[in-house]
Amino acid sequence: MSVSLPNPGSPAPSERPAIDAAALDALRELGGRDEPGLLRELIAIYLEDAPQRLAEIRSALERGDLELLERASHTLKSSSANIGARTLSDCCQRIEATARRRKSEGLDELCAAAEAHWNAVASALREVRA
Amino acid sequence: MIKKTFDELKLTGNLPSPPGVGMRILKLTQGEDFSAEEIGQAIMADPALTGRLLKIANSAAAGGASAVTTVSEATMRLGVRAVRNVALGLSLVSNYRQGACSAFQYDRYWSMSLARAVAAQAISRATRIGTPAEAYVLGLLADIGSLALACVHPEDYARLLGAAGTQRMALRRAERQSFEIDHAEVGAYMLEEWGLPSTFTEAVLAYEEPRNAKDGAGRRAGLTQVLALASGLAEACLTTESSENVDWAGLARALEELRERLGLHEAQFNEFCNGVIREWIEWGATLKVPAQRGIELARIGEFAARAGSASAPSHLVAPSVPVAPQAPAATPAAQGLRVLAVDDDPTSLKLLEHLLVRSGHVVSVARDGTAALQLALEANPQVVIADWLMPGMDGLELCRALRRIEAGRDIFFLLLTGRVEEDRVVEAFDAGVDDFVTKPFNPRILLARLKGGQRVIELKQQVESERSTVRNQVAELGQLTRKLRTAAMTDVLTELPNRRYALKKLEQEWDSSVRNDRPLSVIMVDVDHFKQVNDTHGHGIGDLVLRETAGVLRDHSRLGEEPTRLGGEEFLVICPNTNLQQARACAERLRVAVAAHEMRGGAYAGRITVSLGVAARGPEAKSIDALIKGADEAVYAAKSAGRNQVSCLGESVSAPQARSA
Repeated sequence: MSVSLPNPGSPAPSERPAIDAAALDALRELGGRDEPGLLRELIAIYLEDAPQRLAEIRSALERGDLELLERASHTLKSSSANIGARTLSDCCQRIEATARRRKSEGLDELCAAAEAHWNAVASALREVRA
Repeated sequence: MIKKTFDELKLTGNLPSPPGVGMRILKLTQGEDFSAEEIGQAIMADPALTGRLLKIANSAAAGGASAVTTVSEATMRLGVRAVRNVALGLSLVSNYRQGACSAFQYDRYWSMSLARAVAAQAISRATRIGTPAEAYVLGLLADIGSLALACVHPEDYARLLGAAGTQRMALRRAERQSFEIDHAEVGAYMLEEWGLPSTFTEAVLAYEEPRNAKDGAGRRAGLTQVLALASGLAEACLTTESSENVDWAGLARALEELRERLGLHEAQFNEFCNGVIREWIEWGATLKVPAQRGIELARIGEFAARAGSASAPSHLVAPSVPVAPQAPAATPAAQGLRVLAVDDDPTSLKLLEHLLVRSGHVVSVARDGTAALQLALEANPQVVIADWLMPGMDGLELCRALRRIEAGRDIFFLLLTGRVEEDRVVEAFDAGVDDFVTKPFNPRILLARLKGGQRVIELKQQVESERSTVRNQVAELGQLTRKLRTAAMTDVLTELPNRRYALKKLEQEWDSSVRNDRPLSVIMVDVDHFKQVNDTHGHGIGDLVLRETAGVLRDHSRLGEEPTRLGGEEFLVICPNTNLQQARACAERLRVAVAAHEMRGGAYAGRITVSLGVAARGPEAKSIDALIKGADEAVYAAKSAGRNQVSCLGESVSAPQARSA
């Protein structure tokens, strides 16, 4: 299967929100009365950490380091899922799966899509935090 | 009997024993023929031990000698035997830093042992008694019996330490009452078992005994003297101005004695002591044993003077700071577990931490496997929750690493994983994982799995506590058996060992004296005119006389000399390692003591005398029966010659006046 679209996480980001509102509600609820700032704190941690993972993904791709690519996408997949960034998480999962098979086919496109998703996620999260 | 008691202590399996390298060296050197190479190889397997051994070899040098840098050079300088003993002693220090006996100050024990070791080494160097390296080992291990009692009977010994105070001889008496054996005897047996020389065991048995007995006895010689002097200096090293219950006068006396023995002026002596303290602190850092400069030793005399003139100086009565019993840090929540969470993704880690803390657990976190392993060793977690895929050491490698070490074997290991494929699950369980949770984790499922873990942990704890209860019961049972046997071997009236014991003991001593070609003597003691006492004053007073005589014999016997009651008015003192001349001196000491003792009871007050017969193993006593018979004959000779005197087998009785005090 060849991937032609730059945004392979289908449906397209415009049709599916960057952040799953229900996931955010669950996190808000999880914080509860004990730790009302939990969600804000998680968002802050994520906004700080995710760019580092993306940078790793980028450099791994440039160097053809599929092992690093697998690990970095794995981590970003987890954290994105935690924060409700489903589309980005799914995209990372596909990068991880491809890299694990030590294949590089389609990785360029997938990574570009991840960058695009990330931009949407970041601005959505900044709104939530504001 | 004491040997048997020791064997029982050994059976509990709780006696301190050298770990790893020390044990290997012990096994290697059990026979007579072992090579320097074999020992060298065993030692070099442990780099820390090697370093410490070289340190000893170098500090033992009388100065001027070039530094040794290899184990084989050290062996050449110190000798194979000494190297073996040093390695054995040092290997013990790394273990037994804490234990179950609440009143036993493990840190102080090692600090004191180390000070004693360094002091003994310096004293040996200065007096040329023994070799410095062996003096070091002797000092280090001199009090190992106390540690052993704390290991075998943690609770009973804690109670005993609380009640007995700090006086060492009083402590030994109390130990004997509770355990039928005291710390010096346990220590001596342990050193013997480890193949250390008999001069060591003799020193360990004798060095705590008070020196200035009335009859001028207790002259210490050789290593015993070195150890006794070193012990005094060590005590002073650990004393601070605010220490409680310090016998200042005793400390001052000990230091003065040491100064005189070394023949040094005040200033030279201060320099000597400061050298010892410096070395002690240096060794403390090497062996990670606490060692801190305490009181200026020159000021101890001043404190002693003050303590003597008034009641305890006010500043010495420190506010009662409890001596910190090193209790493990308590976990706050009653059901909380110590959990270590490991994930390279910070959001997952934050979520985990939040969940766990909210559930009442004590949480520490790490971002990768290597950091987690380090933290696991420090925080001693009961549960580890780790992500599988992490940079560097991943979750499975972390699990395998933990399972390889003692502290990690019982940890409940929960693996977080994104994928659940059959092969991978099998691989995870093979690595020692207890359970897994898929990511992104559902909080309720994670907590449910953790509950399962908690149950496992509680069960393990229960098993462990039951096992330790059983261990304690075994120890207690042994103690009870010993008490019962002691009762069967003890004379009810005088509380001395009875005839049965005497004959059994004599058999043992006879065998050992033949085997080791050492002398053995016995002293038969018979109360003079006992029938007359009974007839005149009645049986009550007769019993009193026997009890009092027994007491005098017990109080005036030295270590090793063992008074027993054979029956009637007849006592037998067994003296191992004692020739006829020495036994005669002992008999004379006992005779004088009995004659000088006033016996009081009810309306009765009077003195009695005893006749004593001495016999030694030899041409005239070739069997146990002959030995006892010979002693009997000698008593008879003493009686015929006028009573209140000593007579020896094979010697004609000399005039009583010649020897009477």
